[in-house]
Amino acid sequence: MDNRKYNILFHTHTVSGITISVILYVIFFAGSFAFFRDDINSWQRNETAIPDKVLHLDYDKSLKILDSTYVLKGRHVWFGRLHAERQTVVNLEATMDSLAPKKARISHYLFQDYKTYKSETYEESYALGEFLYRLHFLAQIPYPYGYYLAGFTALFFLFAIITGFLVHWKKIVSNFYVFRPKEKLKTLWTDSHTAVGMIGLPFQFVYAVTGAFFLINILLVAPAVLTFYGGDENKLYNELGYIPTEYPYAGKDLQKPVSINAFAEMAKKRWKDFDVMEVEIQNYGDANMHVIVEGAIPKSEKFNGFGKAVYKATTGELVAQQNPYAQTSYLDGVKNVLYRIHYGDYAGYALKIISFILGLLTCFVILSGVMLWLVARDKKSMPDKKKRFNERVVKIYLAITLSMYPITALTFIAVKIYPQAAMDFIYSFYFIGWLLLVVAFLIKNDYSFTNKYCLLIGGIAGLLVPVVNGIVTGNWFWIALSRGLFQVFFIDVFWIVLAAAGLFAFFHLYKKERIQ
Amino acid sequence: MPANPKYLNPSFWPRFAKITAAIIGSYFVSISFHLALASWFNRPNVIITTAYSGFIVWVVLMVVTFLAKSGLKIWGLYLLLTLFFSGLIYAGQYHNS
Repeated sequence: MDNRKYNILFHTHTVSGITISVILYVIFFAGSFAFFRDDINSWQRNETAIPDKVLHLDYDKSLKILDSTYVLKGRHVWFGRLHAERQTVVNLEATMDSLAPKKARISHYLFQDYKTYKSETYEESYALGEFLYRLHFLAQIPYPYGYYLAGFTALFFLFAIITGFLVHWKKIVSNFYVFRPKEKLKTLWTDSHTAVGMIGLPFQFVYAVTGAFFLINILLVAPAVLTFYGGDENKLYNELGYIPTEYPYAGKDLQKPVSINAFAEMAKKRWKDFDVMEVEIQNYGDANMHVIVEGAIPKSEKFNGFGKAVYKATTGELVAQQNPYAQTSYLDGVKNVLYRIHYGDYAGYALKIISFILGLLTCFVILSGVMLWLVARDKKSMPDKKKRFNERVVKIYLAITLSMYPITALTFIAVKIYPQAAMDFIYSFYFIGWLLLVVAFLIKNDYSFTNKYCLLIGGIAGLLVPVVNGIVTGNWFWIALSRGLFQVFFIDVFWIVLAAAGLFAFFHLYKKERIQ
Repeated sequence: MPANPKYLNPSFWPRFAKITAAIIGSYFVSISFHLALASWFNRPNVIITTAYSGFIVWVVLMVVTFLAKSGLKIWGLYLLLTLFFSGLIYAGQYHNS
């Protein structure tokens, strides 16, 4: 590569990286915790769930309870276990029966516990895991601005990845073995930025592309809809197979009651090892009621092995089906893979832990890039005014990003001390606490102080998370494990390890400073 | 270590032309290219491929744009390419409908 190209790529890498750095850090930090979204939610509720996405529901019992509260006649009812929590998502569409009582005309999105059959609304079920998950695509900023901001950050992150890769292309192999942490500060930042950046490259590439797809796919969808589908996006989604077949409402009552459990069992027996993950009932209680059972075979068997069986309720006849063992089409494969590789939910806790570590390493790459930017500009030739400006920028960046660690740990404690914590409480505690920390660090105006004390506060608070949980609920992590509350145990131990690592870094820094 | 400024665009308009060509021009080319493919080949498959390749092509072109000598020339090239792909889309729809 000639000098001109190298310098241009280098410059665009710097500018794009610095511009997105803070938001990208927030996305990756919160996103790393989001791998454990379901565990955190269960931990907060002091319960555990079977760690899969399979429905463990007595449908007939559930429907009976829902019917008494919401009146199901003429509705479409959908069950899905979207998260590894006790709560099953239940969607009730408004009824199509014109004679149905008024309350059947209101649609509901509910969370029903598969053990107690108690239903909650979205707001009632809101917990810290959901908060951190949504923070990682900035959903707390009013829609659609937060989504678009995060989406474009992902897009420019892809740009920074590619330019960074090209800049370092020639030095990848040689530099990978060069790590000179003791040489001087600049080489520490350079080497770690390059080496850690290279390790995380495939991971980051996947997350940048899929992240952009989730949040700003409208930029791809809109032109296609206008060109091929006359402006009707439903036609596009229909062709891509996103819209399920609708069975018309007959308007006549179902003569004899049917058992949804029986249909689910029938579908389950149809294919070996088939797990039921979604059940949809169209036209509940109508003569044209249909039951759609969807699911998959284990991922170890086939990565894209989803199946579907559609039954007509009156006759029990199999109307349509998709065999999970049959060859998956390219279309269905891509649709599934785009999600699975982002969520990292196809290989148990091991993959989630690796993804979490890679996510935090990405945070480190972002920060080392910012430090590199500062240190590289700390030269005699640089005017003092500019130097001070750069330093100010870095101080603000570090105050915002580093304080995420302590405030996250503190919020874990807060939701245990105040068990009624719902959406409002988590919002105010997290965001106000974060703001206070940032302001305090900016007043102190010293970034090595910010760094050290974020590690210290986060570390102490992190170690207190399992202690507070033990005192408040009695489920100390060893008791939780013996009681089978694996998700509670997991989050407690997770914090002990994370906090210990943070404190280790703190004492290392502290000792080094004492020596100097 | 900051990039050597002698290789960078110093003044506003050339810089503006390059940045807009990188972000907007590359988007036009990437989208029209994928739509042209979709109008001639298996449409659902091409569209679902665009879900990832659309962004990748867009960003790769962004990088290429910054390497170009002149921002205006690359804008011209991108507009011509977009026009060409639009022609293919039109022909594809005419031919395959």
